[in-house]
Amino acid sequence: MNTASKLTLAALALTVLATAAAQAQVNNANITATATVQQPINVSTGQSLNFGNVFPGVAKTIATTDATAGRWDVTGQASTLVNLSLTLPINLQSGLNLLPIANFTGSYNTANNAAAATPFPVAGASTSLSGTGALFVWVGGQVNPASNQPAGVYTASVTLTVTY
Amino acid sequence: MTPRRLGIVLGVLAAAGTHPAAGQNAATISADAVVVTVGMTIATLSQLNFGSVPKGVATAVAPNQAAAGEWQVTGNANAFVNISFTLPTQLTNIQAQPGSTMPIAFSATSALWRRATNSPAGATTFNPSVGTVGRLGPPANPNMYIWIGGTVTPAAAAKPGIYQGTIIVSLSY
Repeated sequence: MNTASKLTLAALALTVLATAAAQAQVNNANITATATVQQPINVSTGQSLNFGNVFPGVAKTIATTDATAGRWDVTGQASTLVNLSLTLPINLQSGLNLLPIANFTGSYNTANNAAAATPFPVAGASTSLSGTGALFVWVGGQVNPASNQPAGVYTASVTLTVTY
Repeated sequence: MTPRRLGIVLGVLAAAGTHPAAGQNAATISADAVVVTVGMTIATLSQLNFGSVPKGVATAVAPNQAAAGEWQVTGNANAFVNISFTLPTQLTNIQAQPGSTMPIAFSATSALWRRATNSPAGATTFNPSVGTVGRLGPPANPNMYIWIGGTVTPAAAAKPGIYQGTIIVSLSY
Protein backbone atom coordinates (compact mmCIF):
# COMPACT_ATOMS: atom_id res chain seq x y z
CA MET A 1 0.00 0.00 0.00
CA ASN A 2 1.38 3.40 -0.95
CA THR A 3 1.51 6.26 1.48
CA ALA A 4 -1.52 8.02 0.08
CA SER A 5 -3.63 4.91 0.47
CA LYS A 6 -2.46 4.43 4.06
CA LEU A 7 -3.49 8.00 4.94
CA THR A 8 -6.88 7.52 3.37
CA LEU A 9 -7.51 4.36 5.39
CA ALA A 10 -6.35 6.05 8.58
CA ALA A 11 -8.62 8.99 7.92
CA LEU A 12 -11.49 6.63 7.19
CA ALA A 13 -10.77 4.68 10.35
CA LEU A 14 -10.81 7.90 12.38
CA THR A 15 -14.04 8.88 10.75
CA VAL A 16 -15.61 5.54 11.62
CA LEU A 17 -14.35 5.75 15.16
CA ALA A 18 -15.66 9.24 15.46
CA THR A 19 -19.02 8.11 14.15
CA ALA A 20 -19.08 5.19 16.50
CA ALA A 21 -18.25 7.48 19.39
CA ALA A 22 -21.07 9.77 18.41
CA GLN A 23 -23.52 6.86 18.31
CA ALA A 24 -22.51 5.62 21.81
CA GLN A 25 -22.93 9.03 23.43
CA VAL A 26 -25.70 9.06 26.10
CA ASN A 27 -28.05 12.02 26.41
CA ASN A 28 -29.18 12.55 29.99
CA ALA A 29 -32.02 14.82 30.97
CA ASN A 30 -32.95 14.84 34.61
CA ILE A 31 -36.19 15.85 36.24
CA THR A 32 -36.84 16.06 39.93
CA ALA A 33 -39.43 13.78 41.45
CA THR A 34 -40.72 15.38 44.65
CA ALA A 35 -43.05 13.88 47.21
CA THR A 36 -44.21 15.52 50.41
CA VAL A 37 -45.08 13.02 53.08
CA GLN A 38 -48.14 14.33 54.93
CA GLN A 39 -49.38 13.46 58.34
CA PRO A 40 -52.37 11.12 58.09
CA ILE A 41 -55.70 12.67 58.92
CA ASN A 42 -57.17 11.52 62.19
CA VAL A 43 -60.76 12.28 63.13
CA SER A 44 -61.81 11.42 66.67
CA THR A 45 -65.01 11.79 68.62
CA GLY A 46 -65.14 14.90 70.79
CA GLN A 47 -68.62 14.62 72.21
CA SER A 48 -72.11 13.54 71.24
CA LEU A 49 -74.85 15.85 70.03
CA ASN A 50 -77.05 15.72 73.09
CA PHE A 51 -80.58 17.14 73.05
CA GLY A 52 -81.28 16.10 76.62
CA ASN A 53 -84.97 16.03 77.52
CA VAL A 54 -87.48 16.83 74.81
CA PHE A 55 -91.25 16.99 75.09
CA PRO A 56 -93.98 15.80 72.71
CA GLY A 57 -94.98 18.48 70.24
CA VAL A 58 -92.11 20.79 71.19
CA ALA A 59 -89.17 21.15 68.81
CA LYS A 60 -85.75 21.55 70.40
CA THR A 61 -82.67 23.05 68.79
CA ILE A 62 -79.05 22.66 69.79
CA ALA A 63 -76.79 25.32 68.26
CA THR A 64 -73.15 24.67 67.44
CA THR A 65 -72.24 27.06 70.23
CA ASP A 66 -74.25 25.17 72.85
CA ALA A 67 -72.41 23.10 75.43
CA THR A 68 -74.10 19.92 74.20
CA ALA A 69 -73.36 20.39 70.50
CA GLY A 70 -71.64 17.47 68.79
CA ARG A 71 -67.90 17.83 68.26
CA TRP A 72 -65.08 16.07 66.40
CA ASP A 73 -61.36 16.64 66.87
CA VAL A 74 -59.26 16.49 63.70
CA THR A 75 -55.48 16.29 63.37
CA GLY A 76 -53.31 16.14 60.27
CA GLN A 77 -50.73 17.98 58.20
CA ALA A 78 -50.20 21.50 59.47
CA SER A 79 -51.67 24.35 57.44
CA THR A 80 -53.16 21.99 54.86
CA LEU A 81 -56.47 22.30 53.06
CA VAL A 82 -59.04 19.65 53.99
CA ASN A 83 -62.56 18.86 52.84
CA LEU A 84 -65.31 18.29 55.39
CA SER A 85 -68.25 16.02 54.63
CA LEU A 86 -71.10 15.10 56.97
CA THR A 87 -73.33 12.04 56.84
CA LEU A 88 -76.54 13.04 58.60
CA PRO A 89 -79.53 11.04 59.85
CA ILE A 90 -83.13 12.05 59.22
CA ASN A 91 -84.44 10.36 62.37
CA LEU A 92 -83.33 9.37 65.82
CA GLN A 93 -84.62 5.97 66.80
CA SER A 94 -85.88 4.28 69.95
CA GLY A 95 -86.83 0.73 69.18
CA LEU A 96 -89.35 1.06 66.36
CA ASN A 97 -90.17 4.68 67.18
CA LEU A 98 -88.66 7.50 65.13
CA LEU A 99 -87.92 11.08 66.12
CA PRO A 100 -87.30 13.42 63.15
CA ILE A 101 -84.11 15.45 63.18
CA ALA A 102 -83.33 18.25 60.72
CA ASN A 103 -81.92 21.77 60.32
CA PHE A 104 -78.37 20.69 60.98
CA THR A 105 -75.74 23.39 61.40
CA GLY A 106 -71.97 23.09 61.31
CA SER A 107 -68.96 25.15 62.30
CA TYR A 108 -65.20 24.73 62.52
CA ASN A 109 -62.29 26.36 64.26
CA THR A 110 -58.59 25.65 64.53
CA ALA A 111 -58.97 26.18 68.28
CA ASN A 112 -61.37 24.38 70.58
CA ASN A 113 -63.62 27.39 70.84
CA ALA A 114 -67.12 26.94 69.46
CA ALA A 115 -68.11 30.53 70.17
CA ALA A 116 -65.51 31.81 67.72
CA ALA A 117 -66.02 29.07 65.13
CA THR A 118 -66.83 29.65 61.46
CA PRO A 119 -70.20 28.35 60.27
CA PHE A 120 -70.21 26.11 57.20
CA PRO A 121 -72.94 24.50 55.12
CA VAL A 122 -73.53 20.91 56.18
CA ALA A 123 -73.50 19.90 52.50
CA GLY A 124 -69.73 20.20 52.74
CA ALA A 125 -66.90 22.69 53.05
CA SER A 126 -63.16 23.18 52.77
CA THR A 127 -60.84 24.77 55.29
CA SER A 128 -57.27 24.52 56.51
CA LEU A 129 -55.80 22.79 59.50
CA SER A 130 -54.00 24.99 61.98
CA GLY A 131 -50.26 25.58 62.10
CA THR A 132 -50.08 22.61 64.44
CA GLY A 133 -52.41 20.48 62.31
CA ALA A 134 -55.54 20.81 64.43
CA LEU A 135 -59.18 21.43 63.59
CA PHE A 136 -62.37 21.22 65.64
CA VAL A 137 -65.76 20.68 64.03
CA TRP A 138 -69.14 21.18 65.70
CA VAL A 139 -72.62 20.11 64.65
CA GLY A 140 -76.02 21.23 65.90
CA GLY A 141 -79.54 20.34 64.83
CA GLN A 142 -83.21 20.31 65.68
CA VAL A 143 -85.43 17.44 66.77
CA ASN A 144 -89.16 17.65 66.15
CA PRO A 145 -91.11 15.27 68.40
CA ALA A 146 -94.71 14.63 67.42
CA SER A 147 -97.49 15.51 69.84
CA ASN A 148 -97.94 11.78 70.49
CA GLN A 149 -94.22 10.98 70.51
CA PRO A 150 -93.65 7.93 72.73
CA ALA A 151 -91.30 8.29 75.68
CA GLY A 152 -87.85 6.81 75.27
CA VAL A 153 -84.18 7.37 74.61
CA TYR A 154 -83.71 8.12 70.89
CA THR A 155 -80.35 7.93 69.17
CA ALA A 156 -78.68 8.03 65.74
CA SER A 157 -75.19 8.36 64.25
CA VAL A 158 -73.62 11.44 62.70
CA THR A 159 -70.40 10.94 60.72
CA LEU A 160 -67.74 13.46 59.73
CA THR A 161 -65.38 12.53 56.90
CA VAL A 162 -62.25 14.60 56.32
CA THR A 163 -60.06 14.34 53.23
CA TYR A 164 -57.02 16.17 51.86
CA MET B 1 -33.98 9.79 29.46
CA THR B 2 -34.25 6.18 28.41
CA PRO B 3 -37.70 4.64 28.10
CA ARG B 4 -36.94 2.38 31.08
CA ARG B 5 -36.02 5.28 33.34
CA LEU B 6 -39.06 7.21 32.22
CA GLY B 7 -41.18 4.19 32.96
CA ILE B 8 -39.80 3.94 36.49
CA VAL B 9 -40.47 7.60 37.19
CA LEU B 10 -44.01 7.35 35.87
CA GLY B 11 -44.50 4.28 38.00
CA VAL B 12 -43.43 6.19 41.10
CA LEU B 13 -45.75 9.05 40.27
CA ALA B 14 -48.61 6.64 39.66
CA ALA B 15 -47.98 4.93 42.98
CA ALA B 16 -48.06 8.24 44.79
CA GLY B 17 -51.31 9.14 43.11
CA THR B 18 -53.09 5.95 44.16
CA HIS B 19 -52.53 6.26 47.89
CA PRO B 20 -55.58 8.10 49.21
CA ALA B 21 -56.21 6.06 52.34
CA ALA B 22 -53.92 8.11 54.56
CA GLY B 23 -55.54 11.27 53.23
CA GLN B 24 -58.98 10.45 54.55
CA ASN B 25 -60.47 9.65 57.91
CA ALA B 26 -63.91 9.66 59.51
CA ALA B 27 -65.47 9.39 62.94
CA THR B 28 -69.02 8.99 64.16
CA ILE B 29 -70.72 10.65 67.09
CA SER B 30 -74.20 9.91 68.39
CA ALA B 31 -77.15 12.27 68.45
CA ASP B 32 -79.30 11.58 71.49
CA ALA B 33 -82.61 12.78 72.88
CA VAL B 34 -84.87 11.64 75.72
CA VAL B 35 -88.57 12.10 75.07
CA VAL B 36 -90.30 12.90 78.35
CA THR B 37 -94.00 12.22 78.85
CA VAL B 38 -94.25 11.50 82.57
CA GLY B 39 -94.16 13.97 85.49
CA MET B 40 -92.12 13.62 88.65
CA THR B 41 -92.95 12.86 92.25
CA ILE B 42 -90.62 13.36 95.20
CA ALA B 43 -90.74 11.77 98.62
CA THR B 44 -88.68 12.53 101.72
CA LEU B 45 -87.05 9.37 102.97
CA SER B 46 -85.10 10.80 105.91
CA GLN B 47 -84.32 14.08 107.69
CA LEU B 48 -80.84 15.55 108.08
CA ASN B 49 -80.25 14.84 111.75
CA PHE B 50 -77.18 16.14 113.60
CA GLY B 51 -78.28 14.59 116.86
CA SER B 52 -76.85 16.06 120.07
CA VAL B 53 -74.14 18.60 119.41
CA PRO B 54 -71.76 19.96 122.06
CA LYS B 55 -71.52 23.71 122.54
CA GLY B 56 -68.60 25.29 120.74
CA VAL B 57 -67.87 22.21 118.64
CA ALA B 58 -68.70 21.98 114.96
CA THR B 59 -70.54 18.81 114.01
CA ALA B 60 -70.70 17.50 110.47
CA VAL B 61 -72.88 14.88 108.82
CA ALA B 62 -71.59 13.57 105.51
CA PRO B 63 -74.14 12.82 102.78
CA ASN B 64 -73.25 9.14 102.82
CA GLN B 65 -73.99 8.75 106.52
CA ALA B 66 -77.20 7.31 107.86
CA ALA B 67 -78.02 10.67 109.47
CA ALA B 68 -78.00 12.49 106.11
CA GLY B 69 -81.18 13.80 104.58
CA GLU B 70 -82.55 11.79 101.67
CA TRP B 71 -85.20 12.14 98.96
CA GLN B 72 -86.51 9.68 96.39
CA VAL B 73 -87.56 11.01 92.99
CA THR B 74 -89.68 9.01 90.55
CA GLY B 75 -90.45 10.09 87.01
CA ASN B 76 -89.82 9.54 83.31
CA ALA B 77 -87.25 6.79 82.79
CA ASN B 78 -83.82 8.04 81.75
CA ALA B 79 -84.86 11.70 81.87
CA PHE B 80 -82.38 14.32 82.97
CA VAL B 81 -83.35 16.27 86.10
CA ASN B 82 -82.17 19.69 87.21
CA ILE B 83 -81.53 19.66 90.95
CA SER B 84 -81.32 22.81 93.03
CA PHE B 85 -81.67 23.62 96.72
CA THR B 86 -82.89 26.38 98.96
CA LEU B 87 -80.47 26.11 101.86
CA PRO B 88 -80.74 27.63 105.32
CA THR B 89 -77.84 29.52 106.86
CA GLN B 90 -78.98 28.87 110.41
CA LEU B 91 -81.19 26.62 112.46
CA THR B 92 -83.60 28.13 114.97
CA ASN B 93 -84.26 26.98 118.50
CA ILE B 94 -87.88 25.83 118.50
CA GLN B 95 -88.10 25.08 122.22
CA ALA B 96 -87.38 27.07 125.31
CA GLN B 97 -85.19 29.68 123.69
CA PRO B 98 -87.08 30.94 120.64
CA GLY B 99 -84.95 33.24 118.58
CA SER B 100 -81.70 31.46 119.40
CA THR B 101 -79.96 30.28 116.28
CA MET B 102 -77.20 27.92 115.23
CA PRO B 103 -75.21 28.39 111.99
CA ILE B 104 -75.37 25.63 109.39
CA ALA B 105 -73.17 25.39 106.34
CA PHE B 106 -72.88 23.21 103.25
CA SER B 107 -69.71 22.43 101.35
CA ALA B 108 -68.98 21.50 97.74
CA THR B 109 -69.24 17.84 98.71
CA SER B 110 -72.35 17.98 100.87
CA ALA B 111 -74.73 16.39 98.36
CA LEU B 112 -74.99 13.17 96.37
CA TRP B 113 -77.29 11.85 93.67
CA ARG B 114 -77.65 8.41 92.17
CA ARG B 115 -79.80 6.78 89.50
CA ALA B 116 -82.04 3.86 90.34
CA THR B 117 -80.15 2.57 93.37
CA ASN B 118 -80.93 3.61 96.92
CA SER B 119 -77.37 3.52 98.23
CA PRO B 120 -74.98 6.46 98.56
CA ALA B 121 -71.97 4.24 97.91
CA GLY B 122 -71.16 4.97 94.29
CA ALA B 123 -73.33 8.08 94.10
CA THR B 124 -72.18 11.29 92.40
CA THR B 125 -71.02 14.16 94.61
CA PHE B 126 -72.14 17.72 93.91
CA ASN B 127 -72.29 21.13 95.53
CA PRO B 128 -75.80 21.81 96.82
CA SER B 129 -75.18 25.54 96.63
CA VAL B 130 -74.63 25.19 92.88
CA GLY B 131 -76.95 22.32 92.01
CA THR B 132 -76.43 19.83 89.22
CA VAL B 133 -78.14 17.74 86.56
CA GLY B 134 -79.03 14.23 87.66
CA ARG B 135 -80.75 11.47 85.79
CA LEU B 136 -83.56 9.07 86.51
CA GLY B 137 -83.03 5.36 86.21
CA PRO B 138 -84.03 3.09 83.30
CA PRO B 139 -87.61 1.87 82.71
CA ALA B 140 -87.33 -0.93 85.22
CA ASN B 141 -86.45 1.56 87.98
CA PRO B 142 -87.13 5.18 86.95
CA ASN B 143 -85.92 6.60 90.27
CA MET B 144 -83.24 8.93 91.49
CA TYR B 145 -82.00 9.38 95.04
CA ILE B 146 -80.58 12.55 96.56
CA TRP B 147 -78.67 12.87 99.82
CA ILE B 148 -77.53 15.95 101.70
CA GLY B 149 -75.26 16.52 104.67
CA GLY B 150 -73.89 19.66 106.30
CA THR B 151 -72.11 21.16 109.26
CA VAL B 152 -73.58 22.96 112.25
CA THR B 153 -71.45 25.23 114.40
CA PRO B 154 -73.04 25.84 117.80
CA ALA B 155 -71.60 28.79 119.70
CA ALA B 156 -69.88 28.20 122.99
CA ALA B 157 -72.78 30.02 124.56
CA ALA B 158 -75.48 28.28 122.53
CA LYS B 159 -78.65 27.78 124.46
CA PRO B 160 -79.92 24.23 124.85
CA GLY B 161 -82.87 23.02 122.88
CA ILE B 162 -83.91 21.63 119.52
CA TYR B 163 -82.83 23.65 116.52
CA GLN B 164 -84.50 23.24 113.17
CA GLY B 165 -84.33 24.61 109.68
CA THR B 166 -85.81 23.71 106.32
CA ILE B 167 -83.98 22.45 103.25
CA ILE B 168 -85.96 22.60 100.05
CA VAL B 169 -84.95 20.60 96.99
CA SER B 170 -86.38 21.70 93.65
CA LEU B 171 -86.44 19.51 90.54
CA SER B 172 -87.25 20.15 86.92
CA TYR B 173 -86.85 18.35 83.63
